[in-house]
Amino acid sequence: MIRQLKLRHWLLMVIALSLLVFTNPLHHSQAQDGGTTFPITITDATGNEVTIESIDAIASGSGDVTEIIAALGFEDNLVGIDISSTYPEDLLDRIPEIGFARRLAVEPIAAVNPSVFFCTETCSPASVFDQLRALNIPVVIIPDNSDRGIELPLEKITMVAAALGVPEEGETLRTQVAREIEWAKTAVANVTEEPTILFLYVRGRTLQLVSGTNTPAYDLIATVDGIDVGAAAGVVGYMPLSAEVMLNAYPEYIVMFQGSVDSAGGLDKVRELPGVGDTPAAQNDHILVFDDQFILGMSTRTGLAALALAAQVHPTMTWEMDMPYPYHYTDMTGIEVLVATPVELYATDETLLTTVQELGFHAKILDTPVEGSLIIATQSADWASLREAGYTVVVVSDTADIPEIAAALGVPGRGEALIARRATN
Amino acid sequence: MISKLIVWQATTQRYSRLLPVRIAFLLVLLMILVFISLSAVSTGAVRIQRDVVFKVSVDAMAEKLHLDYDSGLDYSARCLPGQSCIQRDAALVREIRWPRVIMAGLVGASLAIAGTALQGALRNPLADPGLIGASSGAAVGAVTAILLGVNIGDVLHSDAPALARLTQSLFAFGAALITTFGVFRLARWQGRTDSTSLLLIGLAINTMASAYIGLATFISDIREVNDIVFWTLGSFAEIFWRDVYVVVPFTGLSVVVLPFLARQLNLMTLGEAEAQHLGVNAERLRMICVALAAITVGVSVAFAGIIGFVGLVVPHLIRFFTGPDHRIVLPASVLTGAILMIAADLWARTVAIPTEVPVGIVTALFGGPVFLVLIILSRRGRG
Repeated sequence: MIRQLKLRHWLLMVIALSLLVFTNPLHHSQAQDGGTTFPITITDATGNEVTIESIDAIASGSGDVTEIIAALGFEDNLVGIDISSTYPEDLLDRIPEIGFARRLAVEPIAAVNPSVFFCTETCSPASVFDQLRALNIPVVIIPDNSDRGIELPLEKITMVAAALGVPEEGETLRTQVAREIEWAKTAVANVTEEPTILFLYVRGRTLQLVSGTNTPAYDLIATVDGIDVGAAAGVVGYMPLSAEVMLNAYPEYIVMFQGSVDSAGGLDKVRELPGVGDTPAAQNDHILVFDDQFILGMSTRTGLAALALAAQVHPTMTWEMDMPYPYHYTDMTGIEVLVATPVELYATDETLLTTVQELGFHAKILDTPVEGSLIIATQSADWASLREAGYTVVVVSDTADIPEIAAALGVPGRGEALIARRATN
Repeated sequence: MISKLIVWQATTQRYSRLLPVRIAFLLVLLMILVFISLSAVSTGAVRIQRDVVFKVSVDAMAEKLHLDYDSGLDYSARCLPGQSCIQRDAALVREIRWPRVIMAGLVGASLAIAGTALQGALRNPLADPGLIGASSGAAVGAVTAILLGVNIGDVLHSDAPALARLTQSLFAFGAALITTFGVFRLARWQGRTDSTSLLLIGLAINTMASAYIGLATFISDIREVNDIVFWTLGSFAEIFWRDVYVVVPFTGLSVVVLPFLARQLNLMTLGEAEAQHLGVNAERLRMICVALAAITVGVSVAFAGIIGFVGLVVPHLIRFFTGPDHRIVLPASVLTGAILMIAADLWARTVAIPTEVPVGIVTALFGGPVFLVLIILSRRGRG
């Protein structure tokens, strides 16, 4: 009996596995059938006209682009990625490595036989692109220039989506990332302090740079209403660290890559760098360490990165970073609702939806809700039957203001921030 | 006059006896060169079958020479995503590997023959193309172009990366010539050039140049640093056929002209005064050798960056086997320089796949120890 069961177990697994294997290729053909037909021709960031015959085998030379390609659902089409492609996390374990964005070579890229190669304006050397074109491998260069500010991730997303023939999906992702960047701006709308922040880049014992204007770090710091003291000290781009520069900047917070801290040999070694130990940042344990690609990748997670930074440098920030699930809320129907972590969040009308979205939720307009969803409904909507159908429903008045909606969602602090943000806009 | 006759007779007699051995030696070197070239072309991150590499190479050569030959390789197969195909492999062999290997050979040959000629003409075993300022001058020129951001492309309204690199190459070549001329001019005193002061002045100029490059690295941004590292450590990663066509005539000039000076260079080993008495115009010989070395090395550095130790070590290596006769040392150093540089580049691009090591690091890594061993061995031989 047990043996039989085992056999059935195996059989099921085999079927499941083969289903996985056979449905995977369907994934990209779907994307192709649903949208544009290949070949497609686009103009990339360098002004080159690129014709892409197929996106079945994609090589990406830069982590930020890899992130976007994966977010658009083409993770399984990747045949080669560079070493900075650290998100999604397990990618580098599964996909062959083709070098490093700033030190590319042609043969390792050609070795994975890509049908298209993606990289950014900061990839180098640029002659590798010419060599790839000589091998008939189309090269798409994605914008990566700091003069585009915090909007840079959005431009990257639009171009990658265009090259992959999925402009609608690109638009969706773009809206989502833009919304997250808005959250960060809202979160700091009612803070009182102006923290001084410095970005410090370290590679081993030889290379230590502080950043100033014209860098992603500057854009991120500006987004969270911080003062980039590197820029204030007159640094343009990057400048080698010295005790003078560090003490001139005198930052309250130092932002660093996890990779930088590791290569320096830990936070204790960072404190021993010239001038660092004497800054308020080091003395108050305000050296903030983030994953490299997350914090300054200028890709799909930039809004969340800005939020994470804002939470660290603004002690007066009222915007809640963690959701209070599960929480109890007595809504205007007089019923005490227990709100657990929802699968999806829906709103019953557009005005309500906008406010919910601005409060830090990727909510949707109510259509056919999935099980386990939270629905925020206005009084005039048919909330009673929704509640009967088993959904968690929170009812707000038809003329609900921000505090009421924020309270209903369990995030009153975000409500305060949003009021301040709307007032300044 | 009599002594000149004796030396001439002695060298001629020995030469005629040694001639078959030397020709055999050169043939062996040539075979090694062919072997290492073919190995280099068949090796890389992309695995291509050896027979495909050879057929593609033969077809490409036949096409370039307008020969009516066809290896029968089928190029028509469509390239499928994620799979290798003949078309792409053929393009890789033709457009990327061959120019790279040939350029490595040309630059290796240029540096080696320039080193040999300089060591002979300056009568100093430490003379090296780097020491008369050609390499560092070229790097200063290239770095200046990078820092100023000058680009011929801006004038031609084109942003092809090739034009930016070409601009840097032109700056490098110009600066190499100017620097070498400057070193030579400073070393000239009362109508004659003193070898020792030439090398010392070269050393001083080199120090200034490396200070300039260091400063440039310090003030430039990350992207420019990458470019500067290319120039100071050397690389053949970005070579196209058009670069090869530019370098061939310059290397060719040295390879063709310098062997004609072999006998005069031999006489120089007797001492400058003695050579003068034997009818050698030492000053003119020095000038020709330095000028040729500057041109050849300047153009090499302009396309491949500074690659150290080859110009210094190869002449010593050859002399260790053949003795000091320039009639064999010059051609042998051409072949050996090419062999060593192709091997060094092969190692540089395959040792750390998927990334490449700058070839200048490889030559220094192997050149340094080899030089030490040579010095110790030759001291024992003398002792």
